[in-house]
Amino acid sequence: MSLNFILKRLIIFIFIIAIASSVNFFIPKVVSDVDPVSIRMMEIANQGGVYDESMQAVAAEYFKQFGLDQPLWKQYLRHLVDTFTFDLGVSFTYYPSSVLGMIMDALPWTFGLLIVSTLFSFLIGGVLGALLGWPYAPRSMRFTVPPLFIFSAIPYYMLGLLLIYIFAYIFKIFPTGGGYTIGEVFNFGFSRMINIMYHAILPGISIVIAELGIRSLVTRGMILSLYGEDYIKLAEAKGLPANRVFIWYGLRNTLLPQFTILALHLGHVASGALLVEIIFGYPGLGALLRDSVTAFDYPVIYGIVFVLILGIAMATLVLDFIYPKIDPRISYED
Amino acid sequence: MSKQILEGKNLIKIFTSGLFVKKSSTLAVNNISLNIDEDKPIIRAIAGESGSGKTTLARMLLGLIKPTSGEIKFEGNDIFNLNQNQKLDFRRRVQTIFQDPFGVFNPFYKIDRVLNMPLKKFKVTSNKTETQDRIEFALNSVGLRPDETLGRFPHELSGGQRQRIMVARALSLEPKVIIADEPVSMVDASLRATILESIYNFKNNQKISVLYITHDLTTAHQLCDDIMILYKGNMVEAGPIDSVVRKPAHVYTKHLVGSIPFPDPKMKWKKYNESEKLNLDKPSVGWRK
Amino acid sequence: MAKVLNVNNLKVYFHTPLGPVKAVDGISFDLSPKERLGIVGESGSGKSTMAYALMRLIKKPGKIESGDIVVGDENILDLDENEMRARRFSKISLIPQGSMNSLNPVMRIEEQLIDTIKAHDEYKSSISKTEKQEIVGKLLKSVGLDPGLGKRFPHELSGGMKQRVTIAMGISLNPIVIIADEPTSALDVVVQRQVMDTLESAQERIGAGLILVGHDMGLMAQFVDRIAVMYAGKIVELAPVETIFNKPLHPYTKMLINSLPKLDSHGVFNGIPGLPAQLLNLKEGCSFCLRIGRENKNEIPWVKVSKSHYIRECDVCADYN
Repeated sequence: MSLNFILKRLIIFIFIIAIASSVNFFIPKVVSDVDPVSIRMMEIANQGGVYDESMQAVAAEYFKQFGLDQPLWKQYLRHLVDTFTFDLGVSFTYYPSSVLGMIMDALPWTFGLLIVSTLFSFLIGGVLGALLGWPYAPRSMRFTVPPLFIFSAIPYYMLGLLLIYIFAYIFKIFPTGGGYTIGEVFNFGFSRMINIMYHAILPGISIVIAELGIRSLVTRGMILSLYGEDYIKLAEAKGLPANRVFIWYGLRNTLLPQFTILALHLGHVASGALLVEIIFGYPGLGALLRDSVTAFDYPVIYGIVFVLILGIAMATLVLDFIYPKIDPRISYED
Repeated sequence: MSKQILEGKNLIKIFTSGLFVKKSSTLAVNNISLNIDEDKPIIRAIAGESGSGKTTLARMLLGLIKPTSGEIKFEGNDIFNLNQNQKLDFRRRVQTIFQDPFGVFNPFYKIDRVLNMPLKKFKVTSNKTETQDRIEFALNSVGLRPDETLGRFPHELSGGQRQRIMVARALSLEPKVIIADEPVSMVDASLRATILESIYNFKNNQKISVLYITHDLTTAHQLCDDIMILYKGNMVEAGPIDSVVRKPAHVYTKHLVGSIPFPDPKMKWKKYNESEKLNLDKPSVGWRK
Repeated sequence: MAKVLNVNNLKVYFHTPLGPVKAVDGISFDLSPKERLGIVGESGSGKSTMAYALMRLIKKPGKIESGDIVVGDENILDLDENEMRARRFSKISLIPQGSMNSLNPVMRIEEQLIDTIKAHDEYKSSISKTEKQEIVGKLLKSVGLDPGLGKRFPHELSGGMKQRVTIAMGISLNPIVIIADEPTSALDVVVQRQVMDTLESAQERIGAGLILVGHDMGLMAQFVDRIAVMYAGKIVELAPVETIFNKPLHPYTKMLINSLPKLDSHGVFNGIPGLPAQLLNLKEGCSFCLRIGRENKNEIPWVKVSKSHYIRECDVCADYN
């Protein structure tokens, strides 16, 4: 992979971030004429504050704080600089907590849940799908297809609700929600980890199962189209054992399209995961998003959106760099 | 001076790789010129092994790639500077037949589409009956029965049949030049004769010139009037087919002729010698009489 | 000298919903060590099916209906799947057609060469890294390739090189029979000669019998000792190569030879009329007669004309031409 390509790709990445940030800046300006500070002031006033000249002074101070008294282009530049120094502003509701800080608190929960469940669905779905498509797999595997179809049609959150109902309500095996048992005192370490994982199982499962359906059906399709290829025929002709042909000649060749789908899928999964979090009261970005939307806490909303875009852009960047390792036919030379 | 239909002057093509920093360059075509006269239709072979530049040359003449330097003119005009009408005319009058009889067909459409569309686009015919007549005539000229071919999908026909449809398609447009890139190499040896025969008749019946790109000197000899031998992008020898193939002057031509699998057990190849490959870079002998 | 291969009345039918496709319909021939037999036929004549049948790689809806395939001293049709797997490439190997796609694109050349060897019982014990380099290096050198190519991926090699890699694979376990299925169909004449030369040396070195399947009579003339001409699933003529070219008896053979361009046939095109036989619902009797508009519904006998010359003698079409 040439230096050329790496540089180009990084530039594109930075460009994407800049655009995302710009959209974040301009949409609120376009959508409403009134600035957020005044709105906030109104809200406070409505809740029983007194509205007089002193409030004006407070408002003016806030204006200065938020840089709203500057000309538009200066505000824009300020915004871009802030973005690249990771200053996402401060929350309205929890003033003056920094948006970044709030997001960083919630992020590890989402991250953990997302990564682990995506990984699982990737592995299980990939292998399951491959087996379904392979002509020499046991016939009984066919029976897994209808349930998979059903799963792929159910939205994440519905599955989540279903799981809560069955496993937390009726059977009381798993907790109904939360990241960890509230009120308990832990020492840091193992028991806390176990507790967290215990709480993560149901939300994790609902994401995995919902993903599983599509992933395995797609992999199945890939293997089916792969099966007639000449190199599979030669592999069999060579007298290679069946599982070697399946894994190294069949499965291995589906990796590249799988990774591509993963990259495209990330956005979808991210949004789905957020909904799952809300259902399970999981203290990740989903909960934060719900709170900030109901409270009209714009800086936090924009911050979350921005972080999501950043995350997906980074994931695709990494995947782009990994591609040549997975499929040696890919090279970024001309 | 008779009018030139297609003319290529001092064509050079260099392929480079690497974006900001030039990493490596390949000289695919090195100073090749050729022309085709309007009044003297000719079937000319452009022969060489793979990597010799023959396909690149064909692509340039078809206007699919731009030469690094040199000119290509159709009826006197630079093909990369044509107006809309001239371009349409160029595309119609300079036709092509590709090597792969399967890849060129969209498997979802019946083969009729590949025959109908060009006639419509180039406005060759103005109504359905005319189109139908023209197609049937073209199919008959290549030895296919319209009632057995029309209405079928590509996978329902054999490779030889598909290639003949491609020839019929080219013919139906009344071109002046057909550039055929290895048209029979993916067809069974025993079935090549019919396809080649229809191409052979183009010259005498329809006054169409043909550029036959190939690595197979035997079919070239069967089909063509003269031949250009390409090696590593250079034209090393050219001239009347009989002289060049039966009495090759350049050492590379001799090498190429020596690789022909003669269908005669008494004329076997000489044992292959790696060192043969080392001394082939001799200067061109040019056009022979 | 014992034959390395004996095929007796082999029949391979495909049972499709539209009817049976008799791809191989009663084929018999033998092969001696170091001998080269050419099987010539048009597309759809059943020759590739036959090549795959010899490796017992026919898949549903195809089935080896009857007959014997004796490789060395055992009938491979009597073996179970595991025993057959062990024989593949170690007793009988295949060099496939058009190596465009026959090599796994995501695996290095050396891996693909080694896994053939590792898959066979005699070499079950793991091979060390140095041993691997040695074996791969030797194999690549034996087909005229640079040992360093082992580390490359298939797409980095040219067509001719890929074909030579498959030749190396085919001889790596010293089989007694090698089947080459149109090995040079995608290559230009110059590379073709080089590859055939490599194949020849490789075969001679290990003393195997070789079957060359193809449609190019010119190539056959250069390379093989005997030719079997296939039409519509049957062999119509089997004879030494000189006899086939100088004194062919079957009208189909005659037409095939006539259609070949020689260097004195400028402007002369002797095509073969009609289309190759449709193997689906093949009618009884002489298939070639049907091609030229005649009919003979009787079973056509397999006749020995002289010491090593056999034909399917049909009096109705014998005089064609």
